[in-house]
Amino acid sequence: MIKWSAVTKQYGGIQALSGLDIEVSPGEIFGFLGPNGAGKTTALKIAVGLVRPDSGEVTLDGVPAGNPSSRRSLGYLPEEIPLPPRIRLREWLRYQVALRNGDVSSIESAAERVGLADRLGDPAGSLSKGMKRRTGLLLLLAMRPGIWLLDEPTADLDVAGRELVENVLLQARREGATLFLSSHILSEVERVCDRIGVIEKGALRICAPPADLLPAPFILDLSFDQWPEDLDRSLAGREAVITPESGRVRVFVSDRQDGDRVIQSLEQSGRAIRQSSFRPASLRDAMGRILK
Amino acid sequence: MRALHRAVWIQFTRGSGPILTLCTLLLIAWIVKGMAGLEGSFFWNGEEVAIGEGLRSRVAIGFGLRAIAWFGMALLLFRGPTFILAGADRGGTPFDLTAPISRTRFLFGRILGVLSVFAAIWVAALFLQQLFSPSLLSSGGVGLFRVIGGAILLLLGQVLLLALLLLLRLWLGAWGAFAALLAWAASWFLSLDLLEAYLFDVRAPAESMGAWWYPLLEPYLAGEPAGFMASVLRGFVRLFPPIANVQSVGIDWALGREVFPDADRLAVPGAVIWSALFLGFADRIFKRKDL
Repeated sequence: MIKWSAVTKQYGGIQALSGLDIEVSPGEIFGFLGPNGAGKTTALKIAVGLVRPDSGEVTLDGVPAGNPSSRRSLGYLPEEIPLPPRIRLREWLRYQVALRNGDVSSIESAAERVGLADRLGDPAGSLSKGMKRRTGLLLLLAMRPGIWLLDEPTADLDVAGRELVENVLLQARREGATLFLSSHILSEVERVCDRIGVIEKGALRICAPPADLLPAPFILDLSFDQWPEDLDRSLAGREAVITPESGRVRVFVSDRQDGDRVIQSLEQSGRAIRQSSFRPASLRDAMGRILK
Repeated sequence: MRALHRAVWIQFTRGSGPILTLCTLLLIAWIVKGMAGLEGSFFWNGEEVAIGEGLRSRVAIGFGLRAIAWFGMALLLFRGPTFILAGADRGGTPFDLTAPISRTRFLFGRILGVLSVFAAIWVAALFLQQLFSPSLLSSGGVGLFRVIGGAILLLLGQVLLLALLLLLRLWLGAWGAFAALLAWAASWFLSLDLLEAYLFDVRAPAESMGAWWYPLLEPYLAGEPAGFMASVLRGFVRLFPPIANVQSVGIDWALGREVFPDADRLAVPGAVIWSALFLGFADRIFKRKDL
């Protein structure tokens, strides 16, 4: 279990985290979302013991994050894997596994799984960005940790790589691990996460299962010939994402008939709709609503 | 701990370290061999001191060990903190610290790794010295105990510089390393016996130092302290900063000769105390640092 309790952190005059409270249980995948600079990386770094909170506490399986023993069953995948260029991949992996009290013999089988078996003897500097990311996954597979903290796990990966990451995460969940991932790829978070937390300006805005983040299952996407100034009033309390800069409005609706009612109501009030479309709502729409 | 230790060796061997070390040792050996063949001599305190062959070849061998000490110091200045905080800017150290080890253990594990690299260099250098000294010194080789003692003291000088570099790097960043370079230069400057000769009048008066090469050899020559107060003052200078002085003692030990000047002995406890203080502060800063 990972638990952030009223965690605050300030860098100079910037409040990176202000009273963050999250609890992630074993067998759960928690998705951590938020705009750049919202405090996601700071929250992760406090959990792995690299940054000390100003107040509050993070515990891993009940042990405070600053304590080295809290990292006994921790697997951490940073946004960028720091591979020294001249060292061979196998050497680096052996060093990392040994440092983490893991079983060095498991490296080979993990390398097979992530498709790096034939690259273990190569200098780490010769690996592409995607392969470096696979190396991070390889290390996690070799370690089999109980707690997984992942920062952008699928960044730089191709489609096959993303599928591999998803499969590995789902397998770890089945094995009872606690997984916490920060990502910008919303579709992936939506597919694998049991709960999602959205952070903005260092505070948790919302924390719920993906389906609960959507006020309605469908989206009516509208654009106008002339931008209506008092659109808020016209939509009369409906949940919507209004973006005047793109000339679009996304209205959450319960079904197609509900969407038709919205169009009808807008046309009756004299709004000239240029284009409308109807589609299932996604996490991107939910994020737009939460962070509007 | 073993993994940290091994990581430093991998870093050293994957870089240009072994080739650079081998080339430097060979170059120094070649220079010493050349010096040992020199027949020149000069008079000091009524005694004839030869540069090269035979009983008085201490100048040649002394130069060899001192040159290796210089090389070790240069290697430390350029690579020491990098060996310990490997890839700190690119996230290497922070990633390593997500393992279940304390920062103190990480720091000292890496420091031990660096010291083992330097210990290996010294073992190679002293082995060469032991190999050649019977033919250079008519009195024969030096006892193993003294050689090991000398090697430990030579290593102590490096511990002190490494501790200073680490502290400044953690405290002041890249400018700290630059400050350490200046401190090291100042250390050598303050350790010059020639400077002390002028400051405390314990050595030859300036008019007797005619030849251009004399100041280069002067630290290896015998001399008498001018008096009690001069000894006390020199002892004080040698306590701060004692990097070079403790290595001078190490060289004297390894060569099986009397420690000269005697005040250098004070540098040994000084180096231990400074090293402990610097390492303690470095550890304290490292433990509190957000990475």
